[in-house]
Amino acid sequence: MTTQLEQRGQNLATGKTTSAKARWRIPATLEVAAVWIVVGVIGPGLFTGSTLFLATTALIFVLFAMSTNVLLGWTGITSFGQAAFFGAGAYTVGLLAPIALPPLIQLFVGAAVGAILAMIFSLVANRVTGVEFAMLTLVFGESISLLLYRIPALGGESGLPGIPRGAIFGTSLFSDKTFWWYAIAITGVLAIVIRRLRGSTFGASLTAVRDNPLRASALGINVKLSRIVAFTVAGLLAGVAGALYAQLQGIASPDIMSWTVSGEVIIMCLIGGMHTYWGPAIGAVIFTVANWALSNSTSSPELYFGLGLLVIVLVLPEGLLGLVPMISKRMTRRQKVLS
Amino acid sequence: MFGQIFAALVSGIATGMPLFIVASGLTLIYGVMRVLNFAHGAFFMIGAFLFYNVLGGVTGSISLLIVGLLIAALSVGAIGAVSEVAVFRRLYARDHTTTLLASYALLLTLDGLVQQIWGVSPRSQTQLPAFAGSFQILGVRVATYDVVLIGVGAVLAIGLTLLLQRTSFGQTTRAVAHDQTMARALGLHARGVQLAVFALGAALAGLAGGLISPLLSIDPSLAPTFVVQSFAIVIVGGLGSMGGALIAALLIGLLDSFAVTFFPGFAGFSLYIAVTLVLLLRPQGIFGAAFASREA
Amino acid sequence: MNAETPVLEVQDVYKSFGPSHAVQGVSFTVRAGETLALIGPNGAGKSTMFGLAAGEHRADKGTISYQGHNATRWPASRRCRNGLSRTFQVASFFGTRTVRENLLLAVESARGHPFAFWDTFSSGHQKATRVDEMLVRLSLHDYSALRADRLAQGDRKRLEFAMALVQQPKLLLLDEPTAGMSLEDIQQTIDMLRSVKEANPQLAIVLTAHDMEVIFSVSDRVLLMGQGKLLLEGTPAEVEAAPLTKELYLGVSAS
Repeated sequence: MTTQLEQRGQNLATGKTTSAKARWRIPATLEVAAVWIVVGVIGPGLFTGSTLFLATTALIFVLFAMSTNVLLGWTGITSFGQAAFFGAGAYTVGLLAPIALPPLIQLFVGAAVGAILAMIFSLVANRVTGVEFAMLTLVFGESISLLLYRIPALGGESGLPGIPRGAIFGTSLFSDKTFWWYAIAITGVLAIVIRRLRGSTFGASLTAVRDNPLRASALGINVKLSRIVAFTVAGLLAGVAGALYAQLQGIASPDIMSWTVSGEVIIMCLIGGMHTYWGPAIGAVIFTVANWALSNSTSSPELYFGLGLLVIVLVLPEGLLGLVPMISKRMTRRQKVLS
Repeated sequence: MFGQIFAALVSGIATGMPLFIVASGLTLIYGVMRVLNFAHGAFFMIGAFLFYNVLGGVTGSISLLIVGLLIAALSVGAIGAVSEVAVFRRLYARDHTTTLLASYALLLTLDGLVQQIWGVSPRSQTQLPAFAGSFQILGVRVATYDVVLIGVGAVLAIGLTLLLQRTSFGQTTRAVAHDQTMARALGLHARGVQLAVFALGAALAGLAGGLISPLLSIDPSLAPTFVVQSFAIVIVGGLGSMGGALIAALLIGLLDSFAVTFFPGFAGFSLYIAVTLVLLLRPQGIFGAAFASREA
Repeated sequence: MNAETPVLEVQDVYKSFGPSHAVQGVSFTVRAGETLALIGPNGAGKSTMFGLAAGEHRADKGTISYQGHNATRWPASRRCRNGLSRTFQVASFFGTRTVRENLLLAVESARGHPFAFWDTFSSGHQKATRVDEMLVRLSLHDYSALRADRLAQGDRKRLEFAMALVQQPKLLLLDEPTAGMSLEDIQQTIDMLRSVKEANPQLAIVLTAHDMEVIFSVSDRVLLMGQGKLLLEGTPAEVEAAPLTKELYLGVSAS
C-alpha cells in the first residue's frame, strides 16, 4: 500500500513539473519558423553551386518525408505508394510548363492533383488496412508509373523535360540561390502548417486512430474517414513536394514514380524517428546527403541503407531522435547517482 | 478464330504459371507467419544468379539443369533460414507493419549485396537444347519450355497442397498459422515450423529464379520488379491462399495473353487491371485467407 | 422523439461468428433513466450482445434502434456522436496522452467534427471547463497532467468512466465496470454509479456484470442470458429468486 502511495506521489510530482514546463514553452510553430529562418539564412552562406542544389533537394525531401509521416507516424498507415502523389505533382508541373503559369499557381495545381488522386485511391482502398493496404499502395503506385511509360503524351521513358523555373514577384528563380529562397519559403510555410496540424484536434484524432482504432471509434472518431482525410492531406503535401522537385530539376522523369522512391521516403521517416515532429526532417537530410555521398563512392548504396534500416527496425524503432530521451534519461540517472 | 483462342489460352497459362511459381513461396510464408516478405524478390533474384553461376550461362544437360535448380533452391532456402533467425524471429511479437519494413530492409541489403558480388551488367542463361524448341498442338505452335514450366507449376501446386493438407507437417503448420500460442501450448514446435516454412518459401523463390532465368535478363532490377508482380498475384488471389495464388496467376496470364491477341493496347496492364478490379470488388482477394484464419 | 421512445430498442437480433451462434433472437428495450443489467454465465452471449449495442459488432439479422432511429448499421463512432458512450472491460484509453488530453479527446470526438485542423488540441478553452469539472468530479484532477498509462489500476477505470461521462451521453454502456476490482473499489464504483444516476435522472445505463452485488444495488431491471438467448427478464429480486438463475450460476461456480 505504501509503495502504491509513493508511486502516486511520484507521479503527481512529475505531472506537476510537466504542466509547469508547458506553461513556459514557446509556441511550437514559432520554433519551426525559427529553424527555417536560420537554415534559410545560413544555407547560401554554407553551400554554393552543386551543394546548394543538393541542399535544396534535401529541403524538398524534408517536405516529402513530413507528408509521408502524416500517414506513417501520425495515423499508423504504411504506404509504399507515396511516390505516385509526389510524381503526380511533378508531372502536373511538367504538363503545365507550356502555359507558363506562375510557379506558385503550379504548386497549387500540383497539390490539388496529388490530393485528388490520393483521395480517390483511399476511398477505394479503405476497406483493407495494415499490410494489405500497404501492398495495395505499392501496386497502385506501380500502375500509375507504368501508365507514364505507356502514354506518349506523358513523355514515356524520357519524361517531361524543359520545365522553366519561372519568376516570382518579378524575380527569376533561375539561379540556385533565388530558388533556395523560394523553396525555403514554401517548405517553411508548409512545415508550420504541418506542425499546427500535428497539435490540432485533427492530429490528436489521427494518433488516436493509430494507437487504438477500436477505442477511437467508440469515442466517436470516424476511423475510416480519418484515414481517408490523412491520406488526402499526405497526397496534397506530396504533390507540392513533387511540383517543387520538378521546378528544381527542370524535368519530370518517370523514375521518381518508382515504388523504390516510396520506400526511400519511408526510410527517411524511420531514420529520424516517425513519432517526433523533427524525425522525418532530420531523416530526409541524412538520407539525401548519405545517398549523394554513397553514390559517389560505391555502386550499391542500397546495401548500406538496407543495413541501416535493419538496425533501426530491430534495435531503434524510434529512430535517431529516439536516442535523445534515452540518453537524457541515462544522464539524469547518472546525476542522481552522483548527487 | 478457334486457333487464335486456343493459342491465347496456351500462352496465357504459360505466362501465368511462372508467376505462380514465384508467388507460391510468398503466399506460403504470409499464410503461416503473417509476414509479407519484400525480400522474396531478392530471394528470386539470387536464385537466378546462382543458377547462372553454377551452370556458367549454358544449360548443358538435364542433369546439370536439375543440379543447378537444386543448388539454387537449397542455397536460397538457407539464406531464408538465416534471415528468419536473424531478423524475422525477433519481430513476430511486433506488429505486421514492422515486419514488412524489416523485410524491405532485407530486400535492400540483399539487392546491394548482389550488386557488389555480380555487378549491374545483365547476364543471360541459355535454354537446355531439348527445351529450346517448340512443337505443334492442334495447329498451335507451343514453346517446349512453356510446357515444362506449366508441368513444374502444376506439380508444385499439387505438392504444396498435399504437403499442407495431408502430412503431419502440414497439420502442424496449419495449427501454427491458426494460433501460435495455442499450437505451442499443444506442444507443437512452433519455432521449428516457422523456420521450416520460411526456408521452404525462400527455397521456392530460389527454384523459381533458376527455372525462369532462361526467359529473363538476369540483373539487379529483377528484385523490385518481381516483388511487385508477386504482390499483385497475392492480392488478387487473397493473402495466404495457395489455391488463390494459382488461380490469380493463371487468370492474369490469360488476361494478358487475350489482351495481346485481341486488345494489344492493354498488353502489360493485365496485372494492374486485375488488381484494380479486385480492389474495387473484393479487396480481400478471390480466396481471401483460405487456410490461415484472418484476425477479426 | 417523444418521451415514450425507448433510448435503445433491440429487436430479434442474431449474431454468429463462424459456426458459433453467439446471439440468437434477443429483444429488449431500455428507456431513459433506466439501468439495465445483462447477466449470464460465460459464453452466454452477453458480451456479444453488448458489442452489438455498442456498434463493435454488426448484427446478422434484426434491428437495433437508438432513440427511434434504426442504428443497426451505424458504426460505433456514429452511435457515439449521437449520445452513446461506453467503457471497456479492460480500461481502454490513450496511454501516451495525459489524463486531461484523454478527456479532451472524448469531448472533441463526440461533438462530431473531428477535423478541427487549426485549433490547438491540448489548450482549447471552450471545452476546458467541462473537462476540468469532470476531473474534479471523479477526483482525477491531481493526475490531469500525468500520462494516462502511469495511472494505477483503479484510477484507469475511473478515467474511462470520466471519458464516457464527459461526452454527456444519453445512453451509457458499461462492460464489466467492476471486473478485477477489490471489494473496496467495487463499493466506490457502486457509489459513483448511484451519484451519476442521481445527477442525470434521464441517463439510461446498460451494464454487464458478474458481481451480484453491483447488479442488485444499481440496476432497475435484469436480463438473464444463456446460450445466446434471453432466458429471463425482471426486477433484480425476481431474477435472483428464479430457480433458473441459481441453476445457471451454481453450474458455473461448480465448474
